[in-house]
Amino acid sequence: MKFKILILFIIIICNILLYSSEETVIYYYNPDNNVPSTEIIRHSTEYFNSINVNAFIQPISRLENLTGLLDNNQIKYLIMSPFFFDIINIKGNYKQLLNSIDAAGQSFYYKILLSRKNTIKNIEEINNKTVASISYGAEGHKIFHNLIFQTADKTTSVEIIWVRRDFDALMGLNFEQVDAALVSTKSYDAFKQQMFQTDDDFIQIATTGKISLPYLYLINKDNMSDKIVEGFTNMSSYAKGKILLQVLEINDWEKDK
Amino acid sequence: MRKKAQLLFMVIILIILFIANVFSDNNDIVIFKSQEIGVYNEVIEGIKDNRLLNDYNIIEFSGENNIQKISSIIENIKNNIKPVLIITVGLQATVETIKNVDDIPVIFCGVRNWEKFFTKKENVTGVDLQNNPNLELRYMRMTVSDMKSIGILYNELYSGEYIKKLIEASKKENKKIVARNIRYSDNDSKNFTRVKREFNRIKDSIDILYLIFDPVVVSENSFNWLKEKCLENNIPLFTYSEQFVQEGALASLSPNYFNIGSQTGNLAGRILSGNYSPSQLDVQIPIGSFFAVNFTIAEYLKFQTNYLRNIANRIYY
Repeated sequence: MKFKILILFIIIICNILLYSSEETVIYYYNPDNNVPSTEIIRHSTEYFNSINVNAFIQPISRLENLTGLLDNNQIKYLIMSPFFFDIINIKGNYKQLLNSIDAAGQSFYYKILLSRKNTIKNIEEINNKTVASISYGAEGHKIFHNLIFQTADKTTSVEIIWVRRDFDALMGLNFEQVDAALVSTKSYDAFKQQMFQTDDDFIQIATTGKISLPYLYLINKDNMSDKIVEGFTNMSSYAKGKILLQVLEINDWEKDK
Repeated sequence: MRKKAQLLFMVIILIILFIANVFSDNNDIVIFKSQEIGVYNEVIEGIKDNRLLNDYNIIEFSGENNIQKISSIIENIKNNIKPVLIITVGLQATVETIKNVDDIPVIFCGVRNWEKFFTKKENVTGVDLQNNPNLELRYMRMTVSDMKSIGILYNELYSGEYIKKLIEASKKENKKIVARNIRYSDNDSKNFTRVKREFNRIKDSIDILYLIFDPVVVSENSFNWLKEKCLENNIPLFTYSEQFVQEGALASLSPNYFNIGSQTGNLAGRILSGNYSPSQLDVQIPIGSFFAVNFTIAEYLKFQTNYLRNIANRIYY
């Protein structure tokens, strides 16, 4: 009898150990992040390993891939701007655990619609023009219109060239391949700095509303790992965590207010 | 006079055939790729992101890099499917389709130096695979900010036209191109010897070496030799292929296949709207690019790498 109990005890311990050693995948959808996906995987793995947490961040490139994973209940932790929650209809429960902030302590950013000087002067002139924007997948047109035409005429028609990164959109605008480009202010600042452009080259014809920086969500689960959440809240205290924050293009995480 | 009338008649017939195709009940669009490779699928992902194509039935074919299969697919497209539009991806599918199809709009993409393989017919438009030379210079300057002169080894017959465009673009950027023609020989070792000789002649007068897509210059031997010599002489090696960055070049700028697909999709949308015919649409230059950097090489050459992290599409170590 005692032997049977011992065996059962060993099996339970083994199961606990096996479960605790399972790698936690934290999914990440942020089309406005310019850093290669491989860097996010690499630096998140390095950081979480350094604090003895078996986890890494897995970027998702297309919104429809994310909805597929959510529909199949395959996501427990998700990093994403709440802006996209309005776009995709998430089934079940989700809980906001943390929100991220930038160097100025702000928890949001803007996107701007830029044109070359002396081409399009304002948003009313955008009709039937070609605009380059980051690809949002199948929901692209809906997202684009939510970003740009909240107040403008809904019937405005633009031809959109979907690109992989803001830099591509800005290059397309610079070399007169498109009439306008929808990019984040952060990407535009980096572009000006790296490409030796000045504000005189482009004109800002529209600004989006505030877009929240990514949140950390717990999806369809009641139990969360304190270690994972602590890994996020303490990220800025570690050298490897600081690199990961740079790669995620944010400055810190804080408890959702 | 008679010739003019014949020409006019042919143009009218082509326009009628084109309009008939665009407004026919047929709802099929064919995407025909030369073979099954990852970058072509990325092009197709970009094409399908165009919502104007959602109303059409998209049929995909792969030629499996086999000329007989490619020919039979074209026969099937022409005689049975009769689509409103054909999109070709890759050289073989494009060349054979353009050769054999006159009465259906064709949009090609994924073809480098397309002008060397066919002339643009009335029913044809597309997106080039060659990057904008100004864009290439911008990325080189971003990688090596203090560069003044750019070394290039090239063959006049193969790359002469491109070098002219690059020299023109370099004037705007206030950069000097130090280009050396590698005369063609059918003996590879002679080509390699010439590459070595010309590199040694220019190595002290250049700040960066740009290895362009030129079959006379580029071989496994020449790449390995140039890579070693560039490191020995602290010369950054900038190339056209991500593969070379993986193998030790500093950086590469190649086309972004998704963006090319998106541009192709837009051309398709314009033609299907009935507002444009292919003859009215110029072949487009790709928007954006795919920028890869080798951080190990960058650190060896004592470059700051941090800012490149937000600009590169891929980083190798």
